[in-house]
Amino acid sequence: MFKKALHFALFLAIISTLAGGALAFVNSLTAPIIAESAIAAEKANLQIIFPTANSFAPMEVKDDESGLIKAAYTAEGVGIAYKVEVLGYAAPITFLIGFADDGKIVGLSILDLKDTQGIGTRVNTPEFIDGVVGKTTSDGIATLSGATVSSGAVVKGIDAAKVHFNELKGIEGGTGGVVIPPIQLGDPIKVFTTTAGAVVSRTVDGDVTTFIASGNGYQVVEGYEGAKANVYEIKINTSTSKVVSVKFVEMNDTKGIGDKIDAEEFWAQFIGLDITNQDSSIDTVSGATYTSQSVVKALRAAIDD
Amino acid sequence: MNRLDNFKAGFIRENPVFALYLGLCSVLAISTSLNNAVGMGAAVIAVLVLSNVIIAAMRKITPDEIRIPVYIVVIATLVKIAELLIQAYATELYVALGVFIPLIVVNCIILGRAEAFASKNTILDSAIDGIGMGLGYTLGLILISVIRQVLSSGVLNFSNPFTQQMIFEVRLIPQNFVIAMFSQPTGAFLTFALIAAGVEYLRTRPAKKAKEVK
Amino acid sequence: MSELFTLFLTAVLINNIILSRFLGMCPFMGVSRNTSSAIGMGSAVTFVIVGASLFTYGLYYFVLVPNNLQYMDLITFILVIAAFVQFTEMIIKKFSPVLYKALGIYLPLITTNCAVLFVALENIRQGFDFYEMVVYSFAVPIGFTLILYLFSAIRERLDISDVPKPFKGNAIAMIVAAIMALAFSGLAGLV
Repeated sequence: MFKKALHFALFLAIISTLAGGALAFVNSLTAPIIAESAIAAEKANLQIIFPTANSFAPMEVKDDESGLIKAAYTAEGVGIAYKVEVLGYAAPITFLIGFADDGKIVGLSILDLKDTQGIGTRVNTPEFIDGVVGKTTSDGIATLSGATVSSGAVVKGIDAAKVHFNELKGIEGGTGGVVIPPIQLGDPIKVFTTTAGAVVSRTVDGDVTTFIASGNGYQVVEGYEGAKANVYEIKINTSTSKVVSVKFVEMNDTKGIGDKIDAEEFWAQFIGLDITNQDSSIDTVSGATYTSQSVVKALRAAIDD
Repeated sequence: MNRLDNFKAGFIRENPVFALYLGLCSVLAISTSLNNAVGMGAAVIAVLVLSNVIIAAMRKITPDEIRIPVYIVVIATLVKIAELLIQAYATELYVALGVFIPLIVVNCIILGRAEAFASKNTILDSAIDGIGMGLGYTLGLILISVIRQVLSSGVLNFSNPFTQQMIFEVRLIPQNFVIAMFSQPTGAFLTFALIAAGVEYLRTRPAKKAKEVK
Repeated sequence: MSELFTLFLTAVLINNIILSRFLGMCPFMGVSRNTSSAIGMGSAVTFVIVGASLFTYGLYYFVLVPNNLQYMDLITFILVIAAFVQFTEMIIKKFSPVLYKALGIYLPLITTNCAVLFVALENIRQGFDFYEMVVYSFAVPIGFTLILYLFSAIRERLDISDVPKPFKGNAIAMIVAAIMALAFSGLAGLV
């Protein structure tokens, strides 16, 4: 009885070994061909990023928390490139980011970009790429003001690749993250020459009166259907006649453009603004003048109240 | 049953797809284009014939109690070899058929024929049985695929799986009149049901006629 | 956590193994004649798929990958499944002879049930981590059982109605499946 079981086990073992042998043989024949075709699609792009590399191989990416890394390729002896897909303003953006083995970013190749011409497409221009290539995987990368959604998405994607790369290479210290560039302030506008918006509500708390006021921004002025005015919270110290603070309650203008004014430097201009001074003025944010003006309109409404 | 009979049986009377309802999973899932059907059919015929031959060759030395695992090892090895070869030399087909290539292992047709025929017949007979059944499967697959492809996209085309070169392309239904449903699961079930009913009718008709004559 | 829930829901309803992926058809046609055996079959399949997935997952990542033997996946997986089904058969025979008799030939046939091998392979192909693998391995057979149960209920009615002769049996079952697939495809927007 036992002898029979042994016989069976032996038979199966022999069959399995023969099978395994045959498979190993076929595998050795086909594996290089399969590997070659896996990277064939990307080879041209990879060669641009790593001009000195001779051979590429696909690399398995595990532990990608972001889920943005779609593929990775090693350029033998030179570095690693990641194919990343992020969600841009209107459509997914696919790009290749190449890191040299020492952590320096050597190339950024945008493969698929369908965002707004002149705005989102700026990520595929030297304006953006020059700010990426040359940095290391520990440096922060700045987004483009005026194309924050597209560039922010790409930076986030590059960040994900950096995280994986740093962990692979044991580089400590983080990736530097996303750097919001300082906003550029443009022409000043006088507070008292602009048309006023409308006050929605007012609460008094001692010396400080808090207004919720709205000001017509880009969408309303340009007559977009269903456009709404922007709403701000404005605090004014009635005893000193100075503005305490201004901030957004509701931003109804174009995403990525209107919200540019939501920056420290812009709001800081309002702090301490003398509401009795007819010449009071603040600088608008270049590229978001209408929205900047809408703040002033709201402020005007609050002052008039 | 002589060899020719057995071979012919694989086509209608014992058609693995429409009469025996074996191997349905792949038939319904793959049958969206002629390319897929031919590719899958070729793979199945190859695996079926080879496994039948190998198992028939081993039938005298295979212990009866462990025959199923033995068949499984043989079939799985052949399928994996097929998968690797397709992945290397016909990559587009590999992508199109996807997980259904390894699933050939559990295609009831192959294990079924190994058990029912190859384990009891000579190598030559088993090989012919494999070709017959395999062709029956492939023809059934092609039939459904052609119907589904033409109804859902209007075009019938075929390209060389190794070079991706288009061999022919013909538009049979104008774009505006295509019924997209046939590329969906619903269309697959529906097409299969109608053909199966048709085959069933054909199968039982001679028997009915014979009964009437009596 | 919510991704696991989405994974579960998608596997059960939207990419339903029978209605959308066409896998697991054999028992679908054969066993689904009455509701109680449908539930029994579904439970057996669930047990096999979860168990086999755990084993094959562990086998792949702890044995095959470290030894660069990924190409042995198909052979080892199907052998694990065959062994596990055998094991399940023994358990069912011991604990519920009634169920054993009801399932009959379809119990060992779970080995060649495309769905089992499919889940084992998908766990690897989709790169699931452990928790995703567990969720998926439960979700797929639950979807299978759901459809099997619904179908058996419909078939109980179907068997006593006046079906045209060529359609009797499997063809009409396919038509029902077509309609069910159509209904379930409407759930695609759920997640």
